[in-house]
Formats: sequence, structure tokens, C-alpha cells
Amino acid sequence: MFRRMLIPTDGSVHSERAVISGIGLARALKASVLGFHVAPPFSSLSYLVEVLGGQQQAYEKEMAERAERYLEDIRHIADAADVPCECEYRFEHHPYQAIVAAAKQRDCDLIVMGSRGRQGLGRLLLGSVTHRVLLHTDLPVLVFP
Amino acid sequence: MFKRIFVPVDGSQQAMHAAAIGIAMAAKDGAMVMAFEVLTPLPAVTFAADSLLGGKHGHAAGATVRARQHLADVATMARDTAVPCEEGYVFDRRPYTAIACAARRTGCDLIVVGAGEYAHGQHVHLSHEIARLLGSTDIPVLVCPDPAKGVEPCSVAC
Repeated sequence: MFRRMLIPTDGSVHSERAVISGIGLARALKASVLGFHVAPPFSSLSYLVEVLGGQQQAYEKEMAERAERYLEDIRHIADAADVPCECEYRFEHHPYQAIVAAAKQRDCDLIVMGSRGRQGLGRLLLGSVTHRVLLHTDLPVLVFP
Repeated sequence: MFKRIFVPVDGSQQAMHAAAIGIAMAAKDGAMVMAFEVLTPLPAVTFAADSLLGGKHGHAAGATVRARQHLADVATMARDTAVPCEEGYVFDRRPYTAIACAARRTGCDLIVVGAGEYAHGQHVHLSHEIARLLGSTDIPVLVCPDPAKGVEPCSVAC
């Protein structure tokens, strides 16, 4: 059965529900979880790098702190459920690409996601990130409404 | 965690693979499974003709026989792992609606489905029916891709 679940979070209510339910399932199946967050990278034109250098550092620091906050929530829930948990965040333009790649690289056999996230308007009823993960992964995806 | 797992099938290998995953989850979690198939009715006029011609070889009779066989295959898999299994089928033109309604009506708390099910014979990674199901049900859905199929490359944003 499933042994290692990747649970991405964007800090939204929908992904929080998926985190809680996913960890509950991991507990029932005696699996471990990998909490995951994708932050958008700082985008700038190369000739502006010197000007924007300081801003980029500040931006990345803030994104890293935000990621740690989200992932800390996952750690707390997993610890309370006695589920082994690791966490990771990455900077990536397309969250679905980072999620699919991380699941493969970290030997996960299930991805657990909310049906909608912060970018849910992309597909109206089904979140655009969830929809794209479904299109691009060869792993089972558990979608929580 | 989950107590009643709804397993829609359409007779494809992918559906049976998803059913096997659903049954394995049920076995591990002490749950039961509900195997279900949505059959496509003929258009009204053709259906009338079918009924007029009648007999056990009509569209409905043939579809029902095939569905019962698919459901029996799932029930056999469940029986082999000591998982309680119920079966059901319905004629409906919109599989995603029929699946969502039947899952709710039967009190299921998880739907396990193949990503390319109900694609009307087309080989797709994620069928429209499953995408619609995800947007129209309040029950968690486990989408299982076909292990025999590749996926689109990840380098191009869609």
C-alpha cells in the first residue's frame, strides 16, 4: 500500500483540510508524509539584477519564512498523529512541476491535495495546480474537496 | 479513516487497476467497497427501436450483462482479500453525475477511480468525466493513473 505521501500546501483553507485528512490517512496506513511548499521565485530582468539584488534577498527571505510557517503547521499535525514527517520547500514558477518532480525524487507513492488552492479560479471548479498535477504525474493523487 | 470506498469501473484495465488499489486500501483500513458501473443508454429513438426489437440481445441487455461481469470481477478481487463488497449499476448519460450521486446515496466516504475512465474509448491521461467528477463531488477522490501509460512531459506549461 502507500508508504510515503507528498502533501503540498499553499497555506489556503483547502490545502489545510487536505493536510489534516492526508495525515489521518497516513496514520491509518502507517505511512510517512513529506510536507511540501512551492514559492514563486523572484522574477527580474538580468540587467536589473544589481538594482534589485537587495530586494531579491528580502523577497526570498520572506518567502522562506512563510514556507517554514506553513510547513511547521504540517509538522505539528503529523507529530500529534505520531506520523513520521519531513518537510521541504522549493522556488519554482510552476507549482505543479515542483510537486511532480519532488514526488518522484523523494520516492513518494501518493500525492494528497486539496481540490482548490489559492489559484483555484484557473479551472473554476477544480484548482489549476491540482488539475495540472493530475495531467503530469504517473502517481495516484488523492483530491480532497 | 475511510469506511465505505466507492469504486466506479468501466470495464477497462485501468479501472481494474484502480479497483485493486481501492480494495487494498479497504483491506488495510477495515473498510468495505461498493463497485459501480455507469452504462450509457442509447438515444431515445434508438432505444425505442431497441425495445421494439426486444429480446435479450438488445443494447440494454447486452450492456447489463457486461456490467455484471465487470462488477463480478471486482467482487472476486474483494472476496480474495476478505473485503465486503456490494455492487450496483445505472444507466446515465453523464457518468460523473451518476458516480457523484451514487457515492453520496450509498454513504461512501472515498471514491477510487482510474484517471482515464469513461473516456468513451479514447486513451487519455485524465478523462473529462473524471475532471468533472472532481469539481462536482464533496467526497474525496483518489485518481489512479494507468500504470501502463506515460504522461505528458512536465517542461511545457499547460
